[in-house]
Amino acid sequence: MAPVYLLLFGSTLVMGASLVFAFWWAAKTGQFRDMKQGAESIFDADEPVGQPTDLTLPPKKAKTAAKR
Amino acid sequence: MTATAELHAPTSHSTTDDAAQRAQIDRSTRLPVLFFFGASLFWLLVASLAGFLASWKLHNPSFVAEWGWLTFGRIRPLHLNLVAYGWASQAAIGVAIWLLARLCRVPLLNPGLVIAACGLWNLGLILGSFGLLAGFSQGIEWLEFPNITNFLLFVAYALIAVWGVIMFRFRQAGHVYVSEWYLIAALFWFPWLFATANIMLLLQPVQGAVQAAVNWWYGHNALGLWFTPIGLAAAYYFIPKVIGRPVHSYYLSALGFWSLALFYSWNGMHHLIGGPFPAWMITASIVASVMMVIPVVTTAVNHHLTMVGNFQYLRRSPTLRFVVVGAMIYTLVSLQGSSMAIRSLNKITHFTHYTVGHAHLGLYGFFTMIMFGSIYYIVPRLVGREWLSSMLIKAHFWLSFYGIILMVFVLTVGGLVQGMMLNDPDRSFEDVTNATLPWLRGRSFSGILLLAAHFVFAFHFLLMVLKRGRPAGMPTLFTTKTKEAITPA
Repeated sequence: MAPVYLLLFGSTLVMGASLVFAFWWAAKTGQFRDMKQGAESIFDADEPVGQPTDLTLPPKKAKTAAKR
Repeated sequence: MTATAELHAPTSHSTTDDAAQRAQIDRSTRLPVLFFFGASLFWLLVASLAGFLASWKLHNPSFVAEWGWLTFGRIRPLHLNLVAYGWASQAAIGVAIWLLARLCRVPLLNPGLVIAACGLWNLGLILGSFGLLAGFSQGIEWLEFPNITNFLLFVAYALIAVWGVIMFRFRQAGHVYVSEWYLIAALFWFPWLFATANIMLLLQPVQGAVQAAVNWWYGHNALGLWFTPIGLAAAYYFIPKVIGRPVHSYYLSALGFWSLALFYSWNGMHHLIGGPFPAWMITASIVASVMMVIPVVTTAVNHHLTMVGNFQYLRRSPTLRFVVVGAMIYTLVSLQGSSMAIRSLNKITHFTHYTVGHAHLGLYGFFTMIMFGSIYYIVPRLVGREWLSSMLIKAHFWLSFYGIILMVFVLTVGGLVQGMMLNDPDRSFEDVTNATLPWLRGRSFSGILLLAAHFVFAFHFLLMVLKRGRPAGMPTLFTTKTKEAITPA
């Protein structure tokens, strides 16, 4: 067996361990704590919750009027 | 909804700050991201032409058969590898760079790393394409490119991964959003997966049936640990961001990420059902494949409940159209994949066009659609202009949508017909082949729709890069505030 397989075997263990570590780190740093705030972290004062940010296509006049 | 907006109504000062910061971060990613997008679209066109040619040859084998470099055995791997590494991976990296900068809230650090990666990457692709056409395929599906290309791709991947770690290290303090988890995970997993597969298949090849096991472990996980996380990262960012409403359940999004991380890498052996393998290997893979129902349903429920009440934005936002269609197809293709891992169905679909349909539904219907949507959102923010023509966007969307639906439909039905006939010992192989012909012609027709879609999109992208887009302002989010914020910088 080529020595490179030892490297592969070792790196597989490291990958597995890193997943466990990442999970532990996430728990320790409170990533699972404030879920509401987490979900809102992609919004800011300029693009707040409630404001759509992509209206590239023009509204269809007739249909939108009918819906309203 | 207006009530919520008022509730969060910001003071004018912080608004300008946020807009300025966001604009500055977006601008910092402009060069590398546009490079990656431009290159990815170029390879998308080449790959689509190669795919169309390969498809045509399945029902007209004598077409341009006098040229060795255009034979099926060379064109087909060219199509697969250019779609995987030319289009999909480069679009993924472009989206990942932009998203990571935004989510880490820091302007792009060490741009040299990513630009060098882009150069190496495309050098590798050029060498690899000529290599494949000249007949230097390695004969391992998903890794047909010559070694030099794989080496260059690996170095480029490694540079991007290092860059991702640097960005993450210097991110602004605060919560790590679910998309960031997916992005960092993908950048971390894939170079390792790629290197391991290269070592075990090409540099120090394992022998016999184990080769097939490694090959399918790699082929499936390239989708599961690279394309899927990037696609989901984009969906988890763009759906809430476009409609202006946080993800319905953030608990579910965390559950989805960790269960995907746990189950996906076990997949792959289910491609070898019936092969000469220890039964436990295949059974473990089937179990993992079915366990994938957990992250998939979790994600599907979450995205659907986020969208409920906001479907009217599909009419206005090209990004949302593509991303929502992609997210819906993700659910569909994943559940289909789980069902295909079950032995009784696999008996029919294995070695037929059904599997090809599944692969296209995944990489096109899910991943490519989400990348298209992301590019529609990102590019205006990089070049400071709006997309020129609603008509071109709609043409692109509907050609892609109907093209992929038609392709998957004909391959699925054709594949079932083919599979049932193959299992019938009274039918000759010639009969089976002839029975697939009408379906293969249908597939070529769907290829024309997709080709047209890609040319429309590439043309529109080119206009944007050449600053032919509409000046920013109306009708979307290039609010005067954002413009003011950008102008002095």
